[in-house]
Amino acid sequence: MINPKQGLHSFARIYQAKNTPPNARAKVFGNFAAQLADSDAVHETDAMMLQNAQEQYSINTIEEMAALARMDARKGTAFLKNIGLAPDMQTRILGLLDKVPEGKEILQEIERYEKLNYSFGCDLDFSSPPPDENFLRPAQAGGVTFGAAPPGAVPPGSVPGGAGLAAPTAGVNLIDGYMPPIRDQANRGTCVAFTCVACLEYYMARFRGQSVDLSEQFQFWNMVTSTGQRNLVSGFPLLKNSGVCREQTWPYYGNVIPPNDDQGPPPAPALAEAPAFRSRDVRQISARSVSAIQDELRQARLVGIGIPVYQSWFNSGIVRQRGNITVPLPGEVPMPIGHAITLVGFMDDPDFAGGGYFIVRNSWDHYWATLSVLGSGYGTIPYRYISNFNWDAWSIIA
Amino acid sequence: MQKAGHPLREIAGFDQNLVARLRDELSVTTAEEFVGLWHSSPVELSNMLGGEQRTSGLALLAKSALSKEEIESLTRSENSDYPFKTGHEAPPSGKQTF
Repeated sequence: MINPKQGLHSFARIYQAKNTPPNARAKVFGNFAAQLADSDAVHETDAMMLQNAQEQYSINTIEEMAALARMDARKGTAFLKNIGLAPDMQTRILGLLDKVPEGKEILQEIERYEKLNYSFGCDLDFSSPPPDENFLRPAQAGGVTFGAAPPGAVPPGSVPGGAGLAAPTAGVNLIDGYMPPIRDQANRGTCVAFTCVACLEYYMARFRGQSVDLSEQFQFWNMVTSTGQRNLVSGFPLLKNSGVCREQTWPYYGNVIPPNDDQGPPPAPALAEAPAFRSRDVRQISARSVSAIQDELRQARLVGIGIPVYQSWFNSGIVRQRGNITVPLPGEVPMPIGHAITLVGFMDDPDFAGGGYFIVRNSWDHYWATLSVLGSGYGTIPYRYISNFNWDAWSIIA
Repeated sequence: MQKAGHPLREIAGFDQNLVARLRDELSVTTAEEFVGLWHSSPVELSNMLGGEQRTSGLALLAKSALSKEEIESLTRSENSDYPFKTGHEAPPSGKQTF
């Protein structure tokens, strides 16, 4: 059988070389793989992220990674970050390649191909919902259905029971082609806005065929000026009543500007534009009902929740790496301010307190859950946390 | 989902009742998670497990399952300079939910 990536240096090969005695690496794997294994360019802690890149994006060689790293460096894109790799991966990969002869050749070859111009000429119709192509079909992995949309959650134009639908299972994972990229609230206490907007963006992409980047800044300003509060019960109804303008109309700025907490007023077009991007209805769900939240997710509706935060998981290095939030210890006092996050799936699993977990989408960029098996930025919260401590839960129903 | 890490059930000194209790009450099943708890909330963890001496002994056992690199990696994550801001107000006084 032909290996379509023959001659490229896979990360698996580099890890194999790392597991081989240093004096035998070059003989078994060649000079270049041995140099990569000897260097600090690929860490043991990268393994899960690289496995994820292989499974999700079919990217599994140093050459493919280097091409993306160059693109990020030259064009300011964030491909490596978006596929879940560590923030310093670009520097590590390009730095090493630039130091060794074979690496320099690889970079020169990539550069040569970057200069080629490829023309294409396919008209795209952005006014219609995307077709339900194969890449959006649900997929099974690790007992979880990725992108499942049960009956009742049918995108406009789809036929119930047709392609793109899957029977409800013991687990749902909505991290699919409709899910917007992980976002970053940075230095501001704006998690509520990020949760509201994530739910609206997903809803619009999935059920209206409209993929749009909406403004967390607008939502935060609207919530604070309209209600004086910072919670989901104030934020979610505004998705219906006011809508949210596009990110490009009022971009989010991640640093605090004292004393202007909401960073208003909005630019003139924002208020006029927002009603074009709003939900028709939102619903508050019984906050501590695991089954009620599961029912929403089975209908492909993301669920925004507000939770108390505890030091036991908030400051834990392993939770920051893997993203598996743990239940607070007995007698533990919550921190003064809670957090809003988005639930994007669930799975019954006896290894988690309460018999399963919800999949969490956070708004701490890829700095949280850096090594999560679900992809960086995504973690889990056990059913028990929800049933015992959750404050609030909302979804968009129309 | 199999959590990545070193399962507590495979570490001698963590009896199966304790392993089950940590799993069912806290959702803690790996040595990494136990060490994380010991670092972030030692007092509450000691109170739960019946004293500081026993708990620090268990933490040492859990740590012994981890390599030096793994411990360093956890420490780096604990000391991350990312702000991890939150921002959701609690329910009104006296209420547990909204």
